Amino acid sequence: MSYRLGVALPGARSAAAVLDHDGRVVVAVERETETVGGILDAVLEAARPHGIPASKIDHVMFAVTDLRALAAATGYWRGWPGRLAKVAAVRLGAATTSVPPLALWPPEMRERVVVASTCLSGGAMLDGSDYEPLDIEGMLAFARRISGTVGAVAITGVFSSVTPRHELAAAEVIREEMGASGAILLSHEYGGLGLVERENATILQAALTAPVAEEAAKLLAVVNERGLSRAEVFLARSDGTIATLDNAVTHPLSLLGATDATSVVGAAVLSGERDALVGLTKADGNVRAVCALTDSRPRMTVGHTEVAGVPTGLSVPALVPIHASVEEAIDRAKDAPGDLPLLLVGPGTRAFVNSLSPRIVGTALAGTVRVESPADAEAAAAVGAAAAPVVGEARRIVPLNSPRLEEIRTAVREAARASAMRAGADPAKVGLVWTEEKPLAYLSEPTVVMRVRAGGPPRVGWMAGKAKVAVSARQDAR
Amino acid sequence: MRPLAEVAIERNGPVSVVDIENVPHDAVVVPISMMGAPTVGTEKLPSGREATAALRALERVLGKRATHLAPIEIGGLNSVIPIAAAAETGLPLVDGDAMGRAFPEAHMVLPSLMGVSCTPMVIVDDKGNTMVLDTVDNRWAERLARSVCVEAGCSVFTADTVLSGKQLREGLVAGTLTLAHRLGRAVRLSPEPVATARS
Repeated sequence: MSYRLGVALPGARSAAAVLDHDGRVVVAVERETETVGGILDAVLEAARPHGIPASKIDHVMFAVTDLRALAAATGYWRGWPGRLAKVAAVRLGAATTSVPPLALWPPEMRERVVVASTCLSGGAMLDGSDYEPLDIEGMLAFARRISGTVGAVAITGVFSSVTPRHELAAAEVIREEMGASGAILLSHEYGGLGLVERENATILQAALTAPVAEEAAKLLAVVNERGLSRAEVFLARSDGTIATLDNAVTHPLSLLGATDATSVVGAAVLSGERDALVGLTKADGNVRAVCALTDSRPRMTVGHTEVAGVPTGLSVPALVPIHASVEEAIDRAKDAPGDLPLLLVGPGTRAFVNSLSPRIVGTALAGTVRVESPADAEAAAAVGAAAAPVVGEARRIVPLNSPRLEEIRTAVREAARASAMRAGADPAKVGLVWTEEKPLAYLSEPTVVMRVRAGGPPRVGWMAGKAKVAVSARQDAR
Repeated sequence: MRPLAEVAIERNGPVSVVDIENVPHDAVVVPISMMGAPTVGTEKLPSGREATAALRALERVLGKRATHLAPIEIGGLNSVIPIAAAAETGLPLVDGDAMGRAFPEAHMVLPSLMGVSCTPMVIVDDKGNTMVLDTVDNRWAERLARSVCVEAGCSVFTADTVLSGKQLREGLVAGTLTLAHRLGRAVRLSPEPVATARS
């Protein structure tokens, strides 16, 4: 028998839960502790009477909120933006200067993060042809100027989601000049249309990657110290899915809002509902926000997420904060007139339910068909993390009259599958979970943005054999 | 696309907005807008020089200077483009627009119903390519402009449907720029946006 361990670190209180291979909750704990070690000790102690030693746990899934918990739990990095890598930003698309790079950044963030920026000729057109020829000379001059002064370079090309050709070529020039002295991040890896938002997200990720990777290594050490060295570690992402630690730290912004997302997913797992509203409670028993659960996933925002004052196109769980009353938030969280169950989760679940008139619980609150706090609701965020699938996504803009349409569709599906496997999905069980072809408006040729998500359960057996040897070697080196 | 207007104002200073009532009858009013896919416009951003280029080209054809700019539609992207254009060119912006909402094609405007021609229409892309259309009717203007737009990468600037100050009362829906502003403020700042916007 093998088990999965979910751990949620949203702030002052933490939760952990052990699930068996059928997805049933075996033990769940919720404590006032911010440390990874503290909550791991608590859950392992609770699991022992069930005959579950640390060595039987195959996966540990952590959900952290805006990386703060990750930092506070393991060391000196107190919140972010605190320690950030120095970044050089390159935009490929010289004729796009109506909004130049970094124009929308708060000045103090710009000064803190970005050492140099440039806007050079390059990029692609919607049809994949060159937007402008790539300015190799300019690239080389910029690479020489920044060499030795930066920890990471962020490269963003116009329509790199159609073809990343120029981003890749520019990376080659930078790598040649800079050697191994820093990371290179390419915007097409981070997806999304909207040049400025994608550029901003890529620069922020570039600033965060090195410090987050350091914190992740410390997290791994704490896990190993608790005898969990047989388990592979995953981190939860904004959409309530998970990715391996190594993969997740190269996309640090994708961790934003993860504990909210896994709380919603956890509510679905614990209640068996696929469509509902989820009330996220605070320790004092108040509901802080309501989020819609749609087809077992949290409803997401359409982008426009500001991170440290910087506009990005990231999607995070669409939380509706409580202004006037819970009923009012319920009303705004719904996207259809029908009533839904309200599931309460989080540390204040019991206190909130006790505060309601007994008449309401189990019957109805305005806009709901019933109010329910499922068993182990306090630890829903940990349950959601433990039960989450590994998902990868691929997208591409395609003209529907392309003679290679079917070939392209196949390629996008394969890219999504590959992305899921890179994120740690079990190659034997990866399947397509969602596809979308959304037309671009106002064109004479029909053109769609194709998005495919593939996913499956986390891979197993990865920590046996050579991978395990590598981990012990890393431990020995410390 | 709001940053387009914000950055343009930051660079060039504020934009003055005038009521239709205060525009002289002999004014030369030029609607400036973007044509193409908004998703493309947010990816392949303008350079910030297109509006001026389009206006200058149109003035050469007309043989006279523009005195005012106006929004062609008040919905979506084309409600902020004229603000950026007014900042860029330094011309006052008329408070109103040619359809009182958003429509998908260039000829679907009030001036078309008045018999005003969309052309001469100037099309400018982000690289500086400039084209002047002179068509037999407004449908042809839309049709030909659309193919140019796609060929240029699905996002261009247009200056067209020139109106005299005297034609504005019939050709524009008055006050829609300030209406949009009021609605936006209500949604952003008021706990009761609908009631606030109505009052």
